[in-house]
Amino acid sequence: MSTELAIEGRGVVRDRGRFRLGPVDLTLPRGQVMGLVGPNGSGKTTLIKAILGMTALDAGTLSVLGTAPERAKGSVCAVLDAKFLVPGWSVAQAVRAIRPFYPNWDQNYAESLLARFTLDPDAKVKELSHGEGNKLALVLALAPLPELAVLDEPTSGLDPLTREEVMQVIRDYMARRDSSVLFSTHIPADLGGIADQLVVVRAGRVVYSGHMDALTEVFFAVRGTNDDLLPLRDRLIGARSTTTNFEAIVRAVDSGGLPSSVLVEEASIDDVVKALAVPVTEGIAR
Amino acid sequence: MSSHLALRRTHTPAPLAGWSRFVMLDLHSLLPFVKTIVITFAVMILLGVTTAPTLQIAQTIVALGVIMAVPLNLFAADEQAGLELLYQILPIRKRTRVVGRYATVLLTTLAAVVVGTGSTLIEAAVTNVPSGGLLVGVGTLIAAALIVQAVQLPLYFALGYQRARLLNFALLAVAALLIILAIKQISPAGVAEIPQAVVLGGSVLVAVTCYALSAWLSYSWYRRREF
Repeated sequence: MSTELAIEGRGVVRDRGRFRLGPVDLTLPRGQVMGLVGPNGSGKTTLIKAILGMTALDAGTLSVLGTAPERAKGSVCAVLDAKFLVPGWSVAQAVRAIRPFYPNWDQNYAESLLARFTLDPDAKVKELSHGEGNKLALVLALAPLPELAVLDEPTSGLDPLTREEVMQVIRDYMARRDSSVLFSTHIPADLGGIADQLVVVRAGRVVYSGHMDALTEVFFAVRGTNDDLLPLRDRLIGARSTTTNFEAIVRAVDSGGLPSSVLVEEASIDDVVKALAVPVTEGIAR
Repeated sequence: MSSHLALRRTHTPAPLAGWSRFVMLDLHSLLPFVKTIVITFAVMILLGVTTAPTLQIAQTIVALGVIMAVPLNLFAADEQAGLELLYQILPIRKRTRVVGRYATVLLTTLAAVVVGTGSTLIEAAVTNVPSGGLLVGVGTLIAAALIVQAVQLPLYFALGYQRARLLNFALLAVAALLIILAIKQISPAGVAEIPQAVVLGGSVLVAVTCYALSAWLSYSWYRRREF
Protein backbone atom coordinates (compact mmCIF):
# COMPACT_ATOMS: atom_id res chain seq x y z
CA MET A 1 0.00 0.00 0.00
CA SER A 2 1.20 3.48 -0.76
CA THR A 3 2.88 5.39 2.04
CA GLU A 4 1.62 8.60 0.43
CA LEU A 5 -1.65 7.83 2.12
CA ALA A 6 -2.28 8.48 5.79
CA ILE A 7 -5.27 6.14 5.77
CA GLU A 8 -6.28 3.62 3.17
CA GLY A 9 -9.20 1.32 3.81
CA ARG A 10 -10.73 -1.14 1.37
CA GLY A 11 -13.96 -2.98 2.12
CA VAL A 12 -13.57 -2.41 5.86
CA VAL A 13 -16.20 -4.36 7.79
CA ARG A 14 -16.74 -4.59 11.51
CA ASP A 15 -19.69 -6.66 12.61
CA ARG A 16 -20.79 -6.08 16.21
CA GLY A 17 -23.95 -8.16 16.15
CA ARG A 18 -26.66 -5.53 16.27
CA PHE A 19 -24.52 -3.07 14.34
CA ARG A 20 -22.48 -3.59 11.22
CA LEU A 21 -20.00 -1.09 9.85
CA GLY A 22 -19.20 -1.28 6.18
CA PRO A 23 -18.07 -2.27 3.78
CA VAL A 24 -16.29 1.08 3.85
CA ASP A 25 -13.65 2.44 1.49
CA LEU A 26 -11.61 5.31 2.84
CA THR A 27 -8.63 7.24 1.51
CA LEU A 28 -6.88 10.11 3.26
CA PRO A 29 -3.77 11.47 1.52
CA ARG A 30 -0.96 12.64 3.79
CA GLY A 31 -1.09 16.28 4.76
CA GLN A 32 -4.85 16.53 4.40
CA VAL A 33 -7.76 16.84 6.81
CA MET A 34 -10.70 14.50 6.51
CA GLY A 35 -14.00 15.43 8.09
CA LEU A 36 -16.03 12.44 9.25
CA VAL A 37 -19.65 13.30 9.81
CA GLY A 38 -22.65 11.25 10.80
CA PRO A 39 -25.33 10.99 13.45
CA ASN A 40 -24.88 9.09 16.72
CA GLY A 41 -24.62 5.37 16.13
CA SER A 42 -23.72 5.77 12.47
CA GLY A 43 -20.36 4.02 12.88
CA LYS A 44 -17.94 6.93 13.23
CA THR A 45 -16.44 5.73 16.50
CA THR A 46 -16.23 2.13 15.28
CA LEU A 47 -14.36 3.33 12.21
CA ILE A 48 -12.06 5.44 14.37
CA LYS A 49 -11.38 2.47 16.67
CA ALA A 50 -10.44 0.40 13.64
CA ILE A 51 -8.08 3.14 12.43
CA LEU A 52 -6.49 3.29 15.88
CA GLY A 53 -6.04 -0.49 15.93
CA MET A 54 -8.41 -0.81 18.86
CA THR A 55 -10.73 -3.25 17.17
CA ALA A 56 -10.18 -6.09 14.74
CA LEU A 57 -11.74 -6.08 11.27
CA ASP A 58 -14.13 -8.79 10.18
CA ALA A 59 -13.30 -8.13 6.52
CA GLY A 60 -11.31 -5.77 4.35
CA THR A 61 -7.92 -4.16 4.72
CA LEU A 62 -6.89 -1.04 6.55
CA SER A 63 -3.54 0.68 6.35
CA VAL A 64 -2.46 3.63 8.48
CA LEU A 65 0.67 5.54 7.46
CA GLY A 66 1.53 2.64 5.19
CA THR A 67 1.37 -0.04 7.84
CA ALA A 68 -1.07 -1.98 10.01
CA PRO A 69 -2.95 0.27 12.47
CA GLU A 70 -1.37 -1.38 15.53
CA ARG A 71 2.11 -0.71 14.15
CA ALA A 72 1.40 2.93 13.39
CA LYS A 73 0.48 3.89 16.95
CA GLY A 74 3.73 5.69 17.69
CA SER A 75 2.91 8.21 14.94
CA VAL A 76 -0.82 8.47 15.57
CA CYS A 77 -2.44 10.38 18.42
CA ALA A 78 -6.08 10.68 19.29
CA VAL A 79 -8.66 12.69 21.13
CA LEU A 80 -11.53 10.37 21.94
CA ASP A 81 -14.99 11.33 23.05
CA ALA A 82 -14.51 9.65 26.43
CA LYS A 83 -12.53 10.19 29.61
CA PHE A 84 -9.15 8.48 29.70
CA LEU A 85 -7.16 10.26 32.41
CA VAL A 86 -6.93 9.59 36.15
CA PRO A 87 -9.24 12.13 37.84
CA GLY A 88 -6.74 12.62 40.68
CA TRP A 89 -3.96 13.64 38.32
CA SER A 90 -3.05 17.25 37.92
CA VAL A 91 -2.67 18.63 34.41
CA ALA A 92 1.12 18.52 34.85
CA GLN A 93 0.97 14.91 36.07
CA ALA A 94 -1.11 13.94 33.05
CA VAL A 95 1.54 15.48 30.79
CA ARG A 96 4.33 13.72 32.67
CA ALA A 97 2.48 10.39 32.49
CA ILE A 98 1.91 10.50 28.72
CA ARG A 99 5.13 12.20 27.58
CA PRO A 100 7.52 9.21 27.87
CA PHE A 101 5.58 7.22 25.28
CA TYR A 102 6.34 9.63 22.45
CA PRO A 103 9.95 10.24 21.38
CA ASN A 104 8.91 13.29 19.32
CA TRP A 105 7.08 14.95 22.20
CA ASP A 106 7.56 18.71 21.96
CA GLN A 107 7.49 19.99 25.52
CA ASN A 108 7.72 23.63 24.52
CA TYR A 109 4.73 23.19 22.24
CA ALA A 110 2.83 21.39 25.04
CA GLU A 111 3.53 24.28 27.39
CA SER A 112 2.55 26.87 24.83
CA LEU A 113 -0.75 25.08 24.25
CA LEU A 114 -1.42 24.84 28.00
CA ALA A 115 -0.74 28.55 28.30
CA ARG A 116 -2.86 29.36 25.25
CA PHE A 117 -5.76 27.37 26.70
CA THR A 118 -5.05 28.87 30.16
CA LEU A 119 -4.91 25.42 31.67
CA ASP A 120 -3.36 25.54 35.13
CA PRO A 121 -0.78 22.71 35.43
CA ASP A 122 -1.73 22.29 39.08
CA ALA A 123 -5.45 21.89 38.40
CA LYS A 124 -6.82 18.40 38.94
CA VAL A 125 -8.28 16.58 35.96
CA LYS A 126 -11.50 16.02 37.92
CA GLU A 127 -11.84 19.76 38.46
CA LEU A 128 -11.64 20.63 34.78
CA SER A 129 -14.78 21.65 32.94
CA HIS A 130 -15.85 19.66 29.90
CA GLY A 131 -14.25 22.21 27.61
CA GLU A 132 -11.01 22.26 29.60
CA GLY A 133 -10.93 18.45 29.53
CA ASN A 134 -11.22 18.55 25.74
CA LYS A 135 -8.45 21.12 25.56
CA LEU A 136 -6.15 18.99 27.72
CA ALA A 137 -6.90 15.97 25.54
CA LEU A 138 -6.00 18.04 22.49
CA VAL A 139 -2.70 19.15 24.09
CA LEU A 140 -1.84 15.51 24.81
CA ALA A 141 -2.73 14.54 21.25
CA LEU A 142 -0.79 17.28 19.48
CA ALA A 143 2.34 17.64 21.64
CA PRO A 144 3.76 14.31 20.35
CA LEU A 145 3.67 15.92 16.86
CA PRO A 146 1.82 12.99 15.35
CA GLU A 147 1.85 12.26 11.63
CA LEU A 148 -1.85 11.49 11.95
CA ALA A 149 -4.16 13.03 14.54
CA VAL A 150 -7.51 11.33 15.03
CA LEU A 151 -9.93 13.70 16.68
CA ASP A 152 -13.25 12.18 17.71
CA GLU A 153 -15.73 14.96 18.49
CA PRO A 154 -13.12 17.37 19.91
CA THR A 155 -15.68 20.19 19.86
CA SER A 156 -18.60 18.21 21.24
CA GLY A 157 -20.47 20.07 23.97
CA LEU A 158 -18.29 23.19 23.75
CA ASP A 159 -19.61 26.72 23.75
CA PRO A 160 -19.02 28.63 20.48
CA LEU A 161 -16.01 30.58 21.81
CA THR A 162 -14.24 27.52 23.20
CA ARG A 163 -15.07 25.66 20.01
CA GLU A 164 -13.43 28.35 17.92
CA GLU A 165 -10.39 28.31 20.24
CA VAL A 166 -10.00 24.56 19.76
CA MET A 167 -10.53 24.83 16.00
CA GLN A 168 -7.90 27.55 15.76
CA VAL A 169 -5.34 25.35 17.49
CA ILE A 170 -6.08 22.54 15.05
CA ARG A 171 -5.76 24.94 12.11
CA ASP A 172 -2.45 26.26 13.47
CA TYR A 173 -1.18 22.73 13.95
CA MET A 174 -2.01 21.90 10.35
CA ALA A 175 -0.30 25.06 9.19
CA ARG A 176 2.97 24.30 10.96
CA ARG A 177 3.13 20.56 10.28
CA ASP A 178 2.62 18.39 7.25
CA SER A 179 0.36 16.14 9.26
CA SER A 180 -2.92 14.50 8.49
CA VAL A 181 -6.06 14.82 10.57
CA LEU A 182 -9.17 12.72 10.77
CA PHE A 183 -11.78 14.94 12.35
CA SER A 184 -15.06 13.45 13.45
CA THR A 185 -17.82 15.86 14.36
CA HIS A 186 -21.53 16.38 14.75
CA ILE A 187 -21.13 19.97 13.69
CA PRO A 188 -20.60 20.27 9.92
CA ALA A 189 -19.80 23.97 10.24
CA ASP A 190 -16.59 23.01 12.08
CA LEU A 191 -15.25 21.54 8.87
CA GLY A 192 -15.48 24.73 6.84
CA GLY A 193 -12.04 26.11 6.07
CA ILE A 194 -10.21 23.15 7.54
CA ALA A 195 -11.30 19.89 5.91
CA ASP A 196 -10.01 18.84 2.51
CA GLN A 197 -12.04 15.65 2.36
CA LEU A 198 -15.51 14.87 3.63
CA VAL A 199 -16.88 11.46 4.49
CA VAL A 200 -20.49 11.17 5.55
CA VAL A 201 -21.58 7.95 7.23
CA ARG A 202 -25.07 6.74 7.93
CA ALA A 203 -26.11 3.43 9.45
CA GLY A 204 -22.62 2.00 9.05
CA ARG A 205 -22.23 2.92 5.38
CA VAL A 206 -20.41 5.76 3.63
CA VAL A 207 -23.07 7.80 1.86
CA TYR A 208 -20.67 10.44 0.56
CA SER A 209 -16.93 10.63 0.15
CA GLY A 210 -15.26 13.39 -1.75
CA HIS A 211 -13.40 16.64 -1.78
CA MET A 212 -14.89 19.43 0.33
CA ASP A 213 -14.47 21.99 -2.42
CA ALA A 214 -16.47 19.82 -4.78
CA LEU A 215 -19.30 19.47 -2.32
CA THR A 216 -21.12 22.61 -3.28
CA GLU A 217 -20.53 21.88 -6.95
CA VAL A 218 -21.92 18.39 -6.72
CA PHE A 219 -25.02 19.36 -4.74
CA PHE A 220 -27.47 22.26 -4.77
CA ALA A 221 -29.95 23.21 -2.09
CA VAL A 222 -33.56 23.27 -3.22
CA ARG A 223 -36.60 24.76 -1.54
CA GLY A 224 -40.21 24.80 -2.59
CA THR A 225 -43.77 24.10 -1.66
CA ASN A 226 -45.05 20.64 -0.89
CA ASP A 227 -47.02 20.68 -4.17
CA ASP A 228 -43.69 20.26 -5.97
CA LEU A 229 -42.34 17.63 -3.61
CA LEU A 230 -44.07 14.45 -4.74
CA PRO A 231 -43.20 14.68 -8.45
CA LEU A 232 -39.57 15.37 -7.55
CA ARG A 233 -39.09 12.82 -4.80
CA ASP A 234 -36.87 10.53 -6.90
CA ARG A 235 -34.45 13.39 -7.57
CA LEU A 236 -34.33 14.98 -4.14
CA ILE A 237 -32.10 13.86 -1.30
CA GLY A 238 -32.98 14.27 2.37
CA ALA A 239 -36.17 16.21 1.78
CA ARG A 240 -37.64 17.73 4.93
CA SER A 241 -41.07 19.22 4.80
CA THR A 242 -43.19 21.39 7.02
CA THR A 243 -46.94 21.64 6.49
CA THR A 244 -46.43 23.84 3.43
CA ASN A 245 -42.78 23.85 2.34
CA PHE A 246 -39.88 21.51 1.87
CA GLU A 247 -36.13 21.76 1.66
CA ALA A 248 -33.69 19.23 0.30
CA ILE A 249 -30.57 18.90 -1.76
CA VAL A 250 -30.24 17.68 -5.31
CA ARG A 251 -27.27 16.41 -7.27
CA ALA A 252 -26.09 18.96 -9.82
CA VAL A 253 -26.62 16.40 -12.57
CA ASP A 254 -30.25 16.00 -11.50
CA SER A 255 -30.94 19.72 -11.16
CA GLY A 256 -31.85 20.42 -14.76
CA GLY A 257 -35.52 20.87 -15.59
CA LEU A 258 -36.71 21.58 -12.09
CA PRO A 259 -39.95 23.62 -12.00
CA SER A 260 -39.47 27.37 -11.77
CA SER A 261 -41.39 27.36 -8.49
CA VAL A 262 -38.52 25.43 -6.90
CA LEU A 263 -35.71 27.63 -5.64
CA VAL A 264 -32.26 26.25 -6.47
CA GLU A 265 -29.28 27.78 -4.72
CA GLU A 266 -25.76 27.00 -3.57
CA ALA A 267 -25.77 24.41 -0.82
CA SER A 268 -23.93 24.95 2.43
CA ILE A 269 -21.94 22.16 4.09
CA ASP A 270 -24.69 22.06 6.67
CA ASP A 271 -27.38 21.54 4.02
CA VAL A 272 -25.51 18.70 2.37
CA VAL A 273 -24.42 16.90 5.51
CA LYS A 274 -27.85 17.17 7.08
CA ALA A 275 -29.51 15.80 3.98
CA LEU A 276 -27.03 12.95 3.54
CA ALA A 277 -26.47 11.92 7.13
CA VAL A 278 -29.80 12.23 8.85
CA PRO A 279 -32.52 9.74 7.87
CA VAL A 280 -35.78 11.30 6.73
CA THR A 281 -39.26 10.10 5.82
CA GLU A 282 -39.17 6.78 4.04
CA GLY A 283 -39.90 7.06 0.34
CA ILE A 284 -38.53 10.56 0.09
CA ALA A 285 -34.89 10.17 1.06
CA ARG A 286 -32.56 8.17 -1.07
CA MET B 1 2.87 31.27 33.91
CA SER B 2 5.45 30.30 36.49
CA SER B 3 3.96 26.91 37.24
CA HIS B 4 4.60 25.95 33.65
CA LEU B 5 8.24 25.89 34.60
CA ALA B 6 7.49 22.82 36.65
CA LEU B 7 6.86 20.97 33.40
CA ARG B 8 10.02 22.08 31.64
CA ARG B 9 12.57 19.44 30.94
CA THR B 10 16.17 20.56 30.77
CA HIS B 11 17.56 17.35 29.35
CA THR B 12 16.40 14.51 27.16
CA PRO B 13 16.19 11.33 29.19
CA ALA B 14 17.37 8.05 27.71
CA PRO B 15 14.48 6.21 26.09
CA LEU B 16 12.93 3.61 28.36
CA ALA B 17 11.90 0.13 27.33
CA GLY B 18 8.19 -0.23 26.63
CA TRP B 19 7.42 -2.16 29.80
CA SER B 20 9.33 0.29 31.98
CA ARG B 21 7.40 3.20 30.46
CA PHE B 22 4.26 1.34 31.38
CA VAL B 23 5.57 0.87 34.93
CA MET B 24 6.08 4.63 35.12
CA LEU B 25 2.52 5.16 33.93
CA ASP B 26 1.25 2.66 36.49
CA LEU B 27 3.14 4.44 39.27
CA HIS B 28 1.64 7.71 38.06
CA SER B 29 -1.84 6.24 38.23
CA LEU B 30 -1.14 5.10 41.80
CA LEU B 31 -0.29 8.65 42.86
CA PRO B 32 -3.83 9.51 43.97
CA PHE B 33 -3.80 6.37 46.17
CA VAL B 34 -0.41 7.00 47.75
CA LYS B 35 -1.88 8.66 50.84
CA THR B 36 -4.12 5.66 51.59
CA ILE B 37 -1.32 3.16 51.04
CA VAL B 38 1.14 5.12 53.18
CA ILE B 39 -1.40 5.53 56.01
CA THR B 40 -2.13 1.79 56.00
CA PHE B 41 1.56 1.04 56.13
CA ALA B 42 2.14 3.55 58.92
CA VAL B 43 -0.64 1.97 60.96
CA MET B 44 0.90 -1.45 60.40
CA ILE B 45 4.33 -0.27 61.54
CA LEU B 46 2.87 1.54 64.53
CA LEU B 47 0.97 -1.57 65.55
CA GLY B 48 4.13 -3.61 65.30
CA VAL B 49 6.25 -1.21 67.32
CA THR B 50 3.70 -0.52 70.06
CA THR B 51 2.45 -4.04 70.68
CA ALA B 52 3.94 -7.32 71.75
CA PRO B 53 4.91 -9.97 69.19
CA THR B 54 1.42 -11.45 69.58
CA LEU B 55 0.24 -9.21 66.80
CA GLN B 56 2.66 -10.64 64.27
CA ILE B 57 -0.06 -12.61 62.53
CA ALA B 58 -2.26 -9.52 62.25
CA GLN B 59 0.71 -7.60 60.91
CA THR B 60 1.36 -10.25 58.30
CA ILE B 61 -2.25 -10.12 57.19
CA VAL B 62 -2.21 -6.34 57.03
CA ALA B 63 1.02 -6.50 55.03
CA LEU B 64 -0.58 -8.93 52.61
CA GLY B 65 -3.59 -6.69 52.42
CA VAL B 66 -1.43 -3.72 51.51
CA ILE B 67 0.39 -5.77 48.91
CA MET B 68 -2.90 -6.90 47.42
CA ALA B 69 -4.28 -3.38 47.47
CA VAL B 70 -1.78 -2.25 44.84
CA PRO B 71 -3.09 -4.45 42.01
CA LEU B 72 -6.61 -3.70 43.23
CA ASN B 73 -6.03 0.04 42.93
CA LEU B 74 -4.30 -0.29 39.58
CA PHE B 75 -7.13 -2.22 37.98
CA ALA B 76 -9.69 -0.01 39.68
CA ALA B 77 -8.02 3.04 38.11
CA ASP B 78 -8.04 1.26 34.74
CA GLU B 79 -11.81 0.97 34.82
CA GLN B 80 -12.85 4.04 36.78
CA ALA B 81 -10.62 6.47 34.93
CA GLY B 82 -11.00 4.80 31.54
CA LEU B 83 -7.29 4.03 31.40
CA GLU B 84 -7.87 1.00 29.18
CA LEU B 85 -8.80 3.52 26.51
CA LEU B 86 -5.56 5.39 27.13
CA TYR B 87 -3.54 2.18 26.89
CA GLN B 88 -5.11 1.49 23.51
CA ILE B 89 -4.25 4.93 22.21
CA LEU B 90 -0.67 4.83 23.47
CA PRO B 91 1.94 2.97 21.43
CA ILE B 92 2.16 -0.01 23.75
CA ARG B 93 1.24 -3.56 22.86
CA LYS B 94 -0.94 -5.71 25.05
CA ARG B 95 1.99 -7.98 25.85
CA THR B 96 4.00 -4.98 27.04
CA ARG B 97 1.09 -3.85 29.21
CA VAL B 98 0.93 -7.27 30.89
CA VAL B 99 4.69 -7.39 31.50
CA GLY B 100 4.63 -3.79 32.76
CA ARG B 101 1.75 -4.41 35.13
CA TYR B 102 3.46 -7.48 36.59
CA ALA B 103 6.64 -5.46 37.00
CA THR B 104 4.75 -2.70 38.82
CA VAL B 105 3.12 -5.15 41.18
CA LEU B 106 6.42 -6.90 41.84
CA LEU B 107 8.19 -3.58 42.38
CA THR B 108 5.61 -2.30 44.85
CA THR B 109 5.58 -5.65 46.64
CA LEU B 110 9.34 -5.56 47.06
CA ALA B 111 9.11 -1.97 48.27
CA ALA B 112 6.48 -3.05 50.80
CA VAL B 113 8.68 -5.93 51.92
CA VAL B 114 11.67 -3.62 52.38
CA VAL B 115 9.62 -1.20 54.48
CA GLY B 116 8.02 -4.08 56.39
CA THR B 117 11.40 -5.67 57.10
CA GLY B 118 12.77 -2.35 58.26
CA SER B 119 9.81 -1.88 60.56
CA THR B 120 10.27 -5.37 61.98
CA LEU B 121 13.92 -4.63 62.74
CA ILE B 122 12.89 -1.39 64.44
CA GLU B 123 10.22 -3.27 66.34
CA ALA B 124 12.76 -5.89 67.43
CA ALA B 125 15.12 -3.19 68.63
CA VAL B 126 12.39 -1.26 70.51
CA THR B 127 10.77 -4.28 72.15
CA ASN B 128 14.01 -6.21 72.67
CA VAL B 129 12.44 -9.17 70.90
CA PRO B 130 15.05 -11.25 69.02
CA SER B 131 14.70 -10.89 65.25
CA GLY B 132 16.01 -14.37 64.52
CA GLY B 133 14.22 -16.11 61.68
CA LEU B 134 13.49 -12.78 60.03
CA LEU B 135 14.85 -13.98 56.70
CA VAL B 136 12.56 -17.01 56.83
CA GLY B 137 9.64 -14.75 57.63
CA VAL B 138 10.42 -12.38 54.79
CA GLY B 139 10.90 -15.24 52.35
CA THR B 140 7.60 -16.80 53.35
CA LEU B 141 5.79 -13.48 53.10
CA ILE B 142 7.19 -12.80 49.62
CA ALA B 143 6.27 -16.28 48.47
CA ALA B 144 2.75 -15.95 49.90
CA ALA B 145 2.24 -12.52 48.40
CA LEU B 146 3.50 -13.50 44.98
CA ILE B 147 1.45 -16.68 44.86
CA VAL B 148 -1.68 -14.71 45.77
CA GLN B 149 -0.86 -12.11 43.13
CA ALA B 150 -0.09 -14.80 40.57
CA VAL B 151 -3.63 -16.05 41.02
CA GLN B 152 -5.39 -12.69 41.26
CA LEU B 153 -3.68 -10.90 38.36
CA PRO B 154 -4.99 -13.18 35.58
CA LEU B 155 -8.48 -12.70 37.01
CA TYR B 156 -8.16 -8.94 36.70
CA PHE B 157 -6.73 -9.16 33.20
CA ALA B 158 -9.48 -11.54 32.12
CA LEU B 159 -12.48 -9.98 33.84
CA GLY B 160 -11.52 -6.42 34.77
CA TYR B 161 -11.76 -4.82 38.20
CA GLN B 162 -15.53 -4.83 38.74
CA ARG B 163 -16.07 -8.49 37.98
CA ALA B 164 -12.84 -9.78 39.51
CA ARG B 165 -12.87 -7.89 42.80
CA LEU B 166 -15.33 -10.19 44.59
CA LEU B 167 -13.21 -13.15 43.61
CA ASN B 168 -10.22 -11.16 44.82
CA PHE B 169 -11.73 -10.60 48.26
CA ALA B 170 -12.63 -14.29 48.52
CA LEU B 171 -9.06 -15.07 47.60
CA LEU B 172 -7.76 -12.70 50.26
CA ALA B 173 -9.90 -14.41 52.91
CA VAL B 174 -8.69 -17.86 51.87
CA ALA B 175 -5.07 -16.68 51.78
CA ALA B 176 -5.35 -15.15 55.26
CA LEU B 177 -6.89 -18.35 56.61
CA LEU B 178 -4.19 -20.51 55.07
CA ILE B 179 -1.46 -18.26 56.43
CA ILE B 180 -2.91 -18.39 59.95
CA LEU B 181 -3.18 -22.18 59.74
CA ALA B 182 0.34 -22.46 58.34
CA ILE B 183 1.82 -20.26 61.04
CA LYS B 184 0.10 -22.31 63.72
CA GLN B 185 1.57 -25.47 62.25
CA ILE B 186 5.10 -24.14 62.13
CA SER B 187 7.31 -25.20 64.97
CA PRO B 188 9.75 -22.41 65.83
CA ALA B 189 12.45 -24.98 66.50
CA GLY B 190 11.82 -26.64 63.14
CA VAL B 191 11.91 -23.33 61.32
CA ALA B 192 15.23 -22.48 62.91
CA GLU B 193 16.69 -25.70 61.50
CA ILE B 194 15.86 -24.82 57.87
CA PRO B 195 18.86 -23.21 56.22
CA GLN B 196 17.90 -19.63 55.38
CA ALA B 197 19.43 -19.97 51.91
CA VAL B 198 17.01 -22.82 51.19
CA VAL B 199 14.04 -20.71 52.26
CA LEU B 200 15.14 -17.78 50.16
CA GLY B 201 16.02 -19.93 47.15
CA GLY B 202 12.74 -21.78 47.42
CA SER B 203 10.81 -18.54 47.66
CA VAL B 204 12.50 -17.10 44.60
CA LEU B 205 11.89 -20.30 42.63
CA VAL B 206 8.23 -20.44 43.60
CA ALA B 207 7.77 -16.75 42.86
CA VAL B 208 9.44 -16.84 39.45
CA THR B 209 7.56 -19.98 38.38
CA CYS B 210 4.21 -18.66 39.55
CA TYR B 211 4.76 -15.24 38.01
CA ALA B 212 5.86 -16.64 34.65
CA LEU B 213 2.85 -18.97 34.43
CA SER B 214 0.53 -16.28 35.67
CA ALA B 215 1.82 -13.67 33.17
CA TRP B 216 1.42 -16.12 30.30
CA LEU B 217 -2.15 -16.86 31.39
CA SER B 218 -2.91 -13.14 31.81
CA TYR B 219 -1.68 -12.32 28.32
CA SER B 220 -3.63 -15.21 26.80
CA TRP B 221 -6.83 -13.89 28.32
CA TYR B 222 -6.16 -10.17 28.03
CA ARG B 223 -5.29 -10.20 24.33
CA ARG B 224 -8.74 -11.57 23.56
CA ARG B 225 -10.52 -8.82 25.47
CA GLU B 226 -12.04 -5.95 23.50
CA PHE B 227 -12.91 -2.67 25.12
